[in-house]
Amino acid sequence: MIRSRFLTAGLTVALIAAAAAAPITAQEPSPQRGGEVNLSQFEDADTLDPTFAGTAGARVVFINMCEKLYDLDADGALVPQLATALPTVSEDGLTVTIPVREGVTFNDGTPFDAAAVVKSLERHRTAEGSRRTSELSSITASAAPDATTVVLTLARPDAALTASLSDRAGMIMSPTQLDLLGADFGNAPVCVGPFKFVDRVVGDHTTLERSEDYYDAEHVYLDKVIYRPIADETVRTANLRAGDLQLVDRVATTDVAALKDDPEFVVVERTSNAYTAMTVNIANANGIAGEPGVVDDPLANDQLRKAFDLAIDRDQINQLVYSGLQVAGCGPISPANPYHDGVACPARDLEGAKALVTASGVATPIRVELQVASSPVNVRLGELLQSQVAEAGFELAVLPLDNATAFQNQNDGAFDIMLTPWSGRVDPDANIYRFHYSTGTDNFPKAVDPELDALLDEARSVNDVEARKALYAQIVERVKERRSVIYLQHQVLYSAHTSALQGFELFVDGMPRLKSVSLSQS
Amino acid sequence: MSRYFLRRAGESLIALWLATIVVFIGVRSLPGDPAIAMSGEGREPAANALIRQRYGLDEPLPIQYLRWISITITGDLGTSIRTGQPVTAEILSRIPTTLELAGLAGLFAICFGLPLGIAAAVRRGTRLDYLAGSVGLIGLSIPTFWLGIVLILIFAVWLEVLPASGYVPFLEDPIQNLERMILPVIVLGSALGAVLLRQVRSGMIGSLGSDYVRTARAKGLTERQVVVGHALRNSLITVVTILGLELGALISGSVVTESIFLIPGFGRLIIEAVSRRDYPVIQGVALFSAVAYIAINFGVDLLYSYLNPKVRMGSTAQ
Amino acid sequence: MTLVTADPATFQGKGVVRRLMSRPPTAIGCIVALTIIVVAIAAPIVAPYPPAANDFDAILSPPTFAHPMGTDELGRDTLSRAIWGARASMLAGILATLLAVVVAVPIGLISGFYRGRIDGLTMRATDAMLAFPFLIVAVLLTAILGPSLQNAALAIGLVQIPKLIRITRGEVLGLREESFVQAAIADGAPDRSVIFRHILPNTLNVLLVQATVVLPFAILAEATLSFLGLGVQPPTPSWGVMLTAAQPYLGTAPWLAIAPGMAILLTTLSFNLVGDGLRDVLDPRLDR
Repeated sequence: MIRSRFLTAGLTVALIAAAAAAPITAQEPSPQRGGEVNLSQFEDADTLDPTFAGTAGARVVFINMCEKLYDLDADGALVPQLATALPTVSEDGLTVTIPVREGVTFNDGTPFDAAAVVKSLERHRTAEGSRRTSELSSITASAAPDATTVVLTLARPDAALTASLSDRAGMIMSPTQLDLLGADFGNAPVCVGPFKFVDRVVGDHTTLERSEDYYDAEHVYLDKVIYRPIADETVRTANLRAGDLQLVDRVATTDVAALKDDPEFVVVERTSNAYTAMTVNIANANGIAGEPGVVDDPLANDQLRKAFDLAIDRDQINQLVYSGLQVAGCGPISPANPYHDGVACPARDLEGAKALVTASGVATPIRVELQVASSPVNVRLGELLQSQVAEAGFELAVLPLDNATAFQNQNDGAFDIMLTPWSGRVDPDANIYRFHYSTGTDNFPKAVDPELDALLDEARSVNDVEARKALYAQIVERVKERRSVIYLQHQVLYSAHTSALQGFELFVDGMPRLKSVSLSQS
Repeated sequence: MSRYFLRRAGESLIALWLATIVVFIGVRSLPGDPAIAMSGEGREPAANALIRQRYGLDEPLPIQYLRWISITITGDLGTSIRTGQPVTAEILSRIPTTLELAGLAGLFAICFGLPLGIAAAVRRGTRLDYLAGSVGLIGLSIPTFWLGIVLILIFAVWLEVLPASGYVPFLEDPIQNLERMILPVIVLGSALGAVLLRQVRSGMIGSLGSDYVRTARAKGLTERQVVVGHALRNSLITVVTILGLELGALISGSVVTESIFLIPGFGRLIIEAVSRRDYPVIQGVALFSAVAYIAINFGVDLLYSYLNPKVRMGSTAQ
Repeated sequence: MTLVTADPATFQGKGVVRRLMSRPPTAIGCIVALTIIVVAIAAPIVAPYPPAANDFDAILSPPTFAHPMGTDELGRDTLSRAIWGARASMLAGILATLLAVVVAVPIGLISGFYRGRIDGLTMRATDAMLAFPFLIVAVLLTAILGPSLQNAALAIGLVQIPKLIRITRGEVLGLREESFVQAAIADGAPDRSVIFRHILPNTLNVLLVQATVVLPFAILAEATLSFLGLGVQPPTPSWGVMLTAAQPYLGTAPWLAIAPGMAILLTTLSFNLVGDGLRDVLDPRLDR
């Protein structure tokens, strides 16, 4: 009897506590404040300056330190972050108005306002050496008529602009710090964000700590976030198991099953916009900046390229190379993306492939070389492709290279086929235009199709979602038929953390958001 | 002695100059360039062109070499293209870590290589000799990276007695620091220890059978006096020579060891710089290790001539 | 004169093999090393499967009757791949060792014997080369030349040259002061005869020890280069490539690592045993 009374009393206290914390969640205990999280970074950052950074490794750090005008929700829909609403676009599509937050301060305590937004956007857009210029190429001017309004003037309608502003191009930097450090801003970056920069030793760690200046600081729980760049995926998992890491940003598919079985760890997954593809040299005889020309690549022949593609068994690749944990794919748009056309990939057609090879009259075996950035998983993929296309009469050589050499060969056109992964963007334009537009920065095959160019230009400028979907369905069909890029997989991203870590969710962009994450002190 | 010293110093400078040429040519023969290697997915041709221009990468190679040499003479190794930090600062921040790792590994190697080698030679053909031989052979036969990964699996993942990786500066927390150094030191030191063990044993057996040791025995010295007084001195020469020669192997080993155990040392700096084609850093790092190597071997040579006067006389007689 | 300068090694060529085989560790080493070489040469006959043959019904299969050492993630027979891998690994090791010895020993002999200017130049050049850690040179070289078995062997061999030169030269310097060499020179023996008859045979013990260090080292170096992604081209298996590929499966399929790991260990161990035996038998200073 006594015992049950105690229980009742305890329950009442718990209920009162829960009522007090009602705005968060009624059923879960409120997150505890404090603690530090060590998380891996699959790639080290280049510079921590949003204007000049090119690597995905830098994005992993920015996500907790530099808020943007827009962000994604878990499913990849655009939501305002430092803006207060989605942009208003004028009738002609050439004026974009963005309302921004009031009463926000940068992590150095200086105030955030529309003028600061303009300063950052102009820097992204015009600074010498900026890596944001193409994302913001439609903008011709930006202005701040009052402290909470930003007006952008465009040269052409740009349907992908909001998506661009949800990544580095939409990060707003402290004007005070910019004036102080100029081009060295990346050594001590100051933005608006749940965490602020403390220090970085290149190749070793980047430390962030909870910002007291952040407008939503009461919902930030961790004291410290320490990034550790670890390129080797096996080592990342070993470190998690050994307790040196609390969160691994990318878990190898080979480690997923074992971690899922272990009650000490939680595996989180999300189908992303990232893909794995092969870029085929069709006419890159004079480098990316030169004119298309004739190349010595058997797959420059449309029919042989088709035969090569038909000989690929994507489901087997998924099973054997990725432990069945990814999604077989054949186009640039992920099934997780609202613009995906819902068309399933055709199955392997070995007979069709053989017929095309025979019809081409080219003597078999047809020798062709696949270059891959050297890693166990890429080599595995190359070896499997080797055995698949061999059945159709191709003798595929697999050449693993270091990244810098692979990039150089890609630029120079010194390849037959190159394995080219892409980390994926929310807006389909950012995943297609640069690779398929005749003068695109990443059109390494140097494939030229004026009709496809026209469609890509049109899809950029149409703001109506349904009309855009119809355009992208056409574009994807043409892209699949052309096969200048042969798509293989859509990546499902896996992260893993210790069970003490609460509130972690993986978003479609795969960036580890730690704002509302906490550690249970058990 | 001072003439010998001066001559050796002059020779070292020539070697150093040759080294700068080797470095420069080697680095510039790498396919790809820093702008391309750095950009990742952010392939902006204009941004890349600017990097090339800013770091003078579009100028003729001899001019780039001269520019590099002329600032290097003043002790300035330039600026990292990737991070914008001075190369000297990046190197200096990594050196203490690698020095600690390599120093402890060297100590570990001497501690097990020297006594085992001597004991094996003195007790030649006994079980002890076979045991030492097996230890030496296995130490030589295991790939470093493999040993590292297996040790992490055993001690960090299964037994959970040691941390898997990472580095804590000694001054920040000495115990954590040493705890995290145990596995890397074993990995890095085992191969060196094996080399030492074998060379000491072989050298010792050689000198135990040599004329002057036989003479010493004939003079009625005890075996202990023979070993300590004569043969040991020769083993020390072996140790000094091997340590000097294996310094490069230690740095090579530290590249792999630091990659496995995530130690932010010199070795990882090299690999990162090569994969990023960060020319100033690769050049600076290579030159720095060349200076260190040449300086240490200069020291070894002096020590060598002290331990074995015959060599000094021989090489200065010309 | 002949009494002082006689090199015992030259008089007992015939007995060497018998004496080697009478030492159990050396005999075992010889047999294992020979077996590995034979297996490498006869790989197409010995291996149960071709190295790239996929058995898609046995993916990551643990050791079974059909696959005595299991299969890998693409259903390839681990034992067969290890057997084929012997070719690549041994070839890389032997090529690298040969290259190093053939280039380094003559230079070391001349440099140590003549001393003076030649020696100074050689030493400065080796200083400059040795000043760079092996792995950095190898990584740079393979990055420049492109990844392939020959290039890996070339890189590994090249970086061994300066070290071997210095060791040879060091030995020669010491030997040059020995009384029997001095006596030969004083007797007016031609340089060539002094070098080849009196000095070279007496450096053999050190050179053999070094060669038996270099060969296993080269095999290990090939594995390390593969670990860093600079090894042979797939699908050719080398032991290093196999070990690297096995790494993600350490927890789930440890057998993938056993075959190549054991292969490396056995090979390096056996060659070291042979080298040790050779040294003990041939070393003139130990014979008296």
